[in-house]
Amino acid sequence: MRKEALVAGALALGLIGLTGCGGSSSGSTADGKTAMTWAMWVGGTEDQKNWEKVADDVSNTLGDVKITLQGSTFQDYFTKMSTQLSSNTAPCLVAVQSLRTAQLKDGMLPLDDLVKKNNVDLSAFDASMIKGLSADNNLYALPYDVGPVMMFYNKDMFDAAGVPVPKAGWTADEFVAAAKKLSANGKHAIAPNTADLFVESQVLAYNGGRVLKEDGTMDASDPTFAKGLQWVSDLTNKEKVSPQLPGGDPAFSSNEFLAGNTAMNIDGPWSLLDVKGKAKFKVGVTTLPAGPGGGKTFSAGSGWGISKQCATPDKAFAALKEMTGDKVLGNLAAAGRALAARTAQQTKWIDNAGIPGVAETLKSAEATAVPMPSNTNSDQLGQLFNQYLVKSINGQQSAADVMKDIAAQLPR
Amino acid sequence: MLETTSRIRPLAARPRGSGAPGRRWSARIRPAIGYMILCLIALLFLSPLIYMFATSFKPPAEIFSVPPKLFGSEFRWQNYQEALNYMPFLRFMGNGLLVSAAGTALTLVVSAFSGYAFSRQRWRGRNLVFMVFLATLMIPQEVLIVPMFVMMQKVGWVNTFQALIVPWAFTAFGAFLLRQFFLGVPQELDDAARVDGAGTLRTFLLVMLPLARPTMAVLAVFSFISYWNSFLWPLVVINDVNNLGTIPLGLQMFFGQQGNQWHLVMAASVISMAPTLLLLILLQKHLVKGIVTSGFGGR
Amino acid sequence: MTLLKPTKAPLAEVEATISRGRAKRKAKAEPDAQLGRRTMWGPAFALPHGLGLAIFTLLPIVVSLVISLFRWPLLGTPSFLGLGNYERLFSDPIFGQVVANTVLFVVLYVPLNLVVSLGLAAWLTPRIKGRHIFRVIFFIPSITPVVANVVVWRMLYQPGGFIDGTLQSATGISAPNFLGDEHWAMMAIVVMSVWQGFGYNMLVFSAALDAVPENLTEAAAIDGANAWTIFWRIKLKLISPSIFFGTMMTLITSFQVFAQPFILTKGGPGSSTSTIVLYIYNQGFQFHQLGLASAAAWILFVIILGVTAVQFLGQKKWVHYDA
Repeated sequence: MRKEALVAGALALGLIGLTGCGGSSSGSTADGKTAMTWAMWVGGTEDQKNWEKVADDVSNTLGDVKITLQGSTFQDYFTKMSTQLSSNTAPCLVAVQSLRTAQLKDGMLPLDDLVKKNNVDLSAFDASMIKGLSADNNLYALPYDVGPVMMFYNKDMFDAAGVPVPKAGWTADEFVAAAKKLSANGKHAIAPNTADLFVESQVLAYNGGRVLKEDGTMDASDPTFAKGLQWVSDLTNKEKVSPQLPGGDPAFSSNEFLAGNTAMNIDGPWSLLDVKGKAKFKVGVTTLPAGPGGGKTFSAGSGWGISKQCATPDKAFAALKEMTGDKVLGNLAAAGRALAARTAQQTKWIDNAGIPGVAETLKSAEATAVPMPSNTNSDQLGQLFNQYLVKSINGQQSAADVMKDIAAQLPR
Repeated sequence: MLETTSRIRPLAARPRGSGAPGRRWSARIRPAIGYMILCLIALLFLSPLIYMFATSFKPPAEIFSVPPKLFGSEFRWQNYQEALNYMPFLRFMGNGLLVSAAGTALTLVVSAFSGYAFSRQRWRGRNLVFMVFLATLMIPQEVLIVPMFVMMQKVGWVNTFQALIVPWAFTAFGAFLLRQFFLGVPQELDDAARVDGAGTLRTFLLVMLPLARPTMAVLAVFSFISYWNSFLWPLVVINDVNNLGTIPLGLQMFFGQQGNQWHLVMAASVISMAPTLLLLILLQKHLVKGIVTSGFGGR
Repeated sequence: MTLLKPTKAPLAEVEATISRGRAKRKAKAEPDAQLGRRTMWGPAFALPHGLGLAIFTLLPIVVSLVISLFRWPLLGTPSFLGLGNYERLFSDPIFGQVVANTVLFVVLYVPLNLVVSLGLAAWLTPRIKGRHIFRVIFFIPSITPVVANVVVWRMLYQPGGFIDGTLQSATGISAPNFLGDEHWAMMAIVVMSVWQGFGYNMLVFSAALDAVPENLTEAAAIDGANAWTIFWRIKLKLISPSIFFGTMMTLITSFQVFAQPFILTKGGPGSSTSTIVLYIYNQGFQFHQLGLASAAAWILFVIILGVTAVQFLGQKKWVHYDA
C-alpha cells in the first residue's frame, strides 16, 4: 500500500523531470568539432541569414569548430547579454557595440594576451574602434565595423521643395533654413531621434555639448549639452520643422524617414545600404549640421569578443581572427552590411554604396569624428533618454529640467 | 423610473395588456432600442480588433490615412507571408505550443492528485495545507521574478524551455478547481470501486479521473492560455529569442527594428491571437462554466 | 458536466476556514465524515503539487527577502547592505512617483472595471437574445496575448492613427498625443486595460446574477419595487460575495500592471506611467540591481497584503454570504 503511494509520488515527480528538455550549451558536436555559440543582434530573417552565412563560412574555413548563431533584436540585445553573461549559459562569442563595452566587460575576457600570442596586427583596424572597444586599458573585442554618425536625406524631397542638396560641412543655420522650406503639407524636415548615439551626436555637432566626457565619465547635468538639447527640442516647438514624438520610440525617426514623411534622418553608415534598399526615393548622405562650438560627430562601431565562460578561448579567438579577417570583412563590406573596421576593406563598401558623394561625406565626417567613450551606465542613459526626451521635445519641460531628472536617476 | 418598471413586469406577474396603450408601445420599442445600443457597444468594443484585422491586409503606405479607411486599395495577403518571413514566427508558434502543452500537462497531473487529496482523502493537517495552498493565490507572480531568476541562474536553467514550463505549473488554482469537482462526486462510487477490490490508486485513476474529464478540460484550457500569453517571465529568462522565443516575445520584436512594420505587426498579432481565439470559440461553454465554478479564470 | 455546480470562490473558502466557529460552514468545508480511515495516500497525492508550490512560490518569497538585503548585481558578487536598498527606495523621489502612478492606475482602473463589468452583466439578462455571443465577444481580449492587445492600441493612440484620424476627418481637430503627453498617457493605459480586462468579472457577475432566485425579485416587483430598486437592494446584495471576490482579484492583478506601460510608453513621458513592476523589471534586468528590485518587489507585496487585509476586514460590512 505504502509502496504504491511512493510509486505514485515518484511518477508525478518523474514527469516534472521529463519536461526538462532543450537548451544546448557549448561542447562537442558528434563529429568531434568544438561547438560554440555566437551571440549577435539580428534585425529580421534577412539579417539572420547573412550572419548565419558568416558563421558557416568561418566554421568551414577553420574545420575544427562549429559556430551557431544566437540572435536577438538590437534594442533587447544588451539587456539579454548582461542577463546571459550572468548565468552559466553565456555564449562563447559575444558581439558588443563600442559604446557598450564597459557595460559588458565584467563578463568578457580581455583579449590582449591572445592578440599577442596570435600575432594579430591591430594597426590594420580603424584606430578609434580599437580604442572604443577597450575599457580600463584592456581590449575586449576585435572590431568589424566602424562609422561616424551622419545625416541621411531624401533627395527627391529636397528637389521637390527646390532646396539645394546639403554639402558636407553645412552649418546649423543652413540646416534650419532648409528645414523650414522642407516642412509643408504635413511633411517635416526631420523627426526627433531619441536614440542615445544619435541625439548625442546631434548635440555634439551643434555646440560641442556632451554627456560622456573624453575620459569616459558621465555628466548628465552638463549645461552645454542641455543647451544643445534645447535647440533640438526647439526644432519641434519653435521652428516647427519636426513632428511631436508619439511616445518613447527609438525607431520613430527612421520610420518617418522611410515612409517619406521627413526629409532627413540621423543614422550611421551601417544602415545606409539597408535604407537605400528599402526607400522608395533617392537617398543621399551628408554631415551633421555644425553650429558654433560644435562641428564634431561621434563615431561608433561594433566588434566581437569572447565571454569569460567560454571553455575554449583559444579556439574562440581563432574564430574571432577569421571573422574579423580580410576575407569576411571584405565580403561584409561588399554586401553593404558593414563599413569594415579594416581600413583596407573600406573601399569595397564605398564602391558598392552607389551613392554619389558618399566618399567625400565619409572623409569629411571621419575627419571630425571622435570615438564615443563607453561607460558602465551607457545603457541606462539610453533608456532614460528614450523615456524622458519626449518631455522636452514635446514641449512639456525645458531641456535643462529634463537633463536634471535624468542626472538624478543615474547611479552616482 | 416608470419605464424601467415595464422591463421587469413581464417577468414578474406578466400582466399583459394591463398597462396604458402608450406603455404597451414603449414596452415593445424600448427593448429594441436597448438591443441596438448593446449591439453598438459590442461593435465599438470590437473596433480595435476589427481595425487590426483590416490593417493586416493593407499595403504599408496606406496604414495611417486620414480619414482612416477600413480597407486599403488592395487586399494584401502577402503581409502574412512577409510577417512569417520577417521573424521566425512559425518557430515561435512551435515553441509556444510545446511550452504551453508541457506546462498544461504538468499542471493537470499535479492538480488532479492534489485536488483528490484535498477532497476525498483524510489526513492530518489537510485543511492547514489547503489553506497554505489558497494563500499562495494571493502572491503575485511578478513579485517572484527576481528570486526566480536567481534560482534559475543557480540551477542553470536560464534560457531553457524548462524555465518557462516548470515554475508556473504548480498554481493552487488547479488544486482548488479539481477539489471543487471531487467534492461533488457521490461517495457510492468510491465504495463500489472498493467493493470490486480496487485500491486507492486504481480507484483514482480508473474511476475518478475519467469522471473529472470536463473539469480537467477547463483547467487545461486556462492553463494553456496563461502559458501561451505569458510575457514578463519569458522576457526575463529567454535570451536566445530567435530560437527559444514564444509568441509574445516575437511580437515585441517587431518594434524597434528599422522602421516599425505596422502592417506586419498587425498580421503577426492576428496570427498570435488565432489559437486562443479558436479555443474560446470551440470551448466557450466550458470556459464560462469554469469561471463560474471557480469564480476566476486562472488569473 | 452535471456534477459541476457553482460553489464558493477560493477567497470565500479561506474565509470559511478562518471562521471555524460557524458550524454551518464547517460542515460544508469538511466532508471528512463520509470518508474512510486516514492513510498515507493523502499526503502522497498532495506531495508533488505541494513540493512544487514550496519550491517555486514559497521559497522565492523568502529568497526575495534575502536578496533585498544585499547589493546584488547581475554580474559579480553580492555584498550585504542591510536595509540599504529600502532606505534608498524610500528616499528616492522616482520610486515615490512610481508607487503613486501604480496607486493612480489602481484607483482609476478597479472602479471602472467593476462598473463596466457589473453594468454589462446586469444588462445581459437571460432575456437578451444572443447573450452568449455578447459574453464571448466581451471576453475575447481577456484571453488573447496582452502583447497583441497592447500593440493594437498603440496603433489606435498614435498621432495619425485610428482615433486621431477619425477625429480629424470628423471635426478637423487633432486628438491629443495620447502616449507622448504626460497628462494623457496614464489615462490611455487605463482605458486600454479596462477594455482588455473586464471580461472575467463580467462573466463572474453574470453567472452570479443568474443564480439569484427569481421568486425573490418577483415578490419585490409585486410589492411595487422598480427594477432599479430591485437591482440595488436585492440583486447587488445577493451577489456581494462575487463582487467581493472580483474586487479582490482585480485589485491584486491591477497592482501588477506591466505589459501595457512596457510596450505603450516604456514608463514615459518622463516617469509618468512607470509602475512598480516596470520599475522592478528595469532595476533588475536593465540596470542589474537585483537587490534593489527585490526590495521594490517586497514593498509591492506588502502593499498588496495590506490592501487585501483591509478588504477582508471591511467585507463584513457589505458582503452577505448566507443568502
